[in-house]
Amino acid sequence: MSPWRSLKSWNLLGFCLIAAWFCLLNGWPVTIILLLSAAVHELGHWLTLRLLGGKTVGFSLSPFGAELLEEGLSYPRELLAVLAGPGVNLLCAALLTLPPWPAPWREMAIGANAVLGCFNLLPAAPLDGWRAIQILLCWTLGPDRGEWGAAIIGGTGALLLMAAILWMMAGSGGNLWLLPTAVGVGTAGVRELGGRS
Amino acid sequence: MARGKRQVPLSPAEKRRLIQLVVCCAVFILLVGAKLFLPGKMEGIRASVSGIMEQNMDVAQVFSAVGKAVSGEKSVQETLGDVYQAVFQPAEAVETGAIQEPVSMEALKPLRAFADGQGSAAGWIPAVEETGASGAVQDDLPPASEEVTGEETESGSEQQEQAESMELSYILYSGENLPDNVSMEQVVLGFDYCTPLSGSLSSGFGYRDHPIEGEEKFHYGLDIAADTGTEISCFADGVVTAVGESTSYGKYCIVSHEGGYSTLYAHCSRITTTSGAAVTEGQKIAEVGETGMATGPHLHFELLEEDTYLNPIYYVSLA
Repeated sequence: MSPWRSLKSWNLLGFCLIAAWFCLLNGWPVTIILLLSAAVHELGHWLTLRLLGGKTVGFSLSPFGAELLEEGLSYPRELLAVLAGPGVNLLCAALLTLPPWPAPWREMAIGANAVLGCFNLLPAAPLDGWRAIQILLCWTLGPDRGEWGAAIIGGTGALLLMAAILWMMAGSGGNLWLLPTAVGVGTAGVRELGGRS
Repeated sequence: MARGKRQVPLSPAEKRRLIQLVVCCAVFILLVGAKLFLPGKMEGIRASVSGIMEQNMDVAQVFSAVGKAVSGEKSVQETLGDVYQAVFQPAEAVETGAIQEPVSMEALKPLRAFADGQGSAAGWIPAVEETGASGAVQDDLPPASEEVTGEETESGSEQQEQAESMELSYILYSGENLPDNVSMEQVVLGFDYCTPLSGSLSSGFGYRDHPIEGEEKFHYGLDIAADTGTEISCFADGVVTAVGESTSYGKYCIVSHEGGYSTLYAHCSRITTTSGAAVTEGQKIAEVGETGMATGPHLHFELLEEDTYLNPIYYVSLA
């Protein structure tokens, strides 16, 4: 099955709406920089996956973010592919600090990549940081206990992250465009915690 | 008839869709009903919802601040401060500038020449400097809104000083030194009026340093500082001729009064009247805010006779 088949039109529409809303609120430069950073992130995943011989079985773009589903990799390789996304973002941020040329929006691009990289490394489901922990635990403790441990860590992390986002929204009296992120993370957290206990 | 009575069992999917349809219809009817029967309430809800939707952290600034920290331009502590600022106080910007664009340095040149040329006129220079200086105190402050608000309340005590310098300006500004569309005269309005907002004067009518461009520009209104949400009353009977929003004025409205006079109320958090509405003296038309180019909650109040700006200070009494 082609990975593009998993792109659902409703999800895509939701993603476009959120992107448009974000653009209206924050302007073109940030939106483009953020979309490029996200593209670089997914490209990092995808290229590593290809290089290591894995297969992309699904790609989804929704209001909750972008997601790449793969299969057919050993634990260490999968770990590498998972970490490649945020890794590329952090690498981009580091590389952008090097040149002395005063590129427009350079600081913003550095910041966007750094924030995206760090955010995705958080140990909260369904982010890359949590996926890495899951793989590490499965690798060392075996699939059953690994999955169980990861579910507890990732679920708790996700609920805490959701609380943090909601707290920030309440504190700033707005930022409603963050709501899908909070909902997505919260749903993943509930799924992880609920599915295992 | 028989066909109509035949029972066709609904599949679960059909049932679900039917329920969805019913719920959607009910929500729609409820909302339309609420809109029809409780227009004021719905307007309030609409305003607060759009407020939540529009209120937004300054994402660009967050990224820039993080970028500066990563590239080592700023310390982590400074960055945390910047990020906090960008997330929770997005409406930094600057104290209301000379919102009305035109009057450039050109207008001041004859004034300066006049001052340089005649020693006897030097007396009013400190007065102008004074007005500029008290404006500058506000402008130099970090954009954290509480601090500015604090400063603005404090500046109430400077009011006396400002009033003095304004009086001096009144004597010394001859017609040619003023922008074309400004009159310093105290005209008789010929109708009843009231003070739109009781608060402290944070910036008066006249030349002052432009908070952004740093040059002296003419400030065409009064800035009256008060808490966000404080009621703004209409200056006099009239008709609302414009309700709008701009980057400099923020949310504003304009009311036309008899005799060709009109008043403008800017930086409101919300406008509670609508364009075309007839309003009476003292009627609530808006609430104080800091929309547009403003550092703290205040009302920017302008009074015009046709196209000529008048000094509103003669017609208001402030605390």
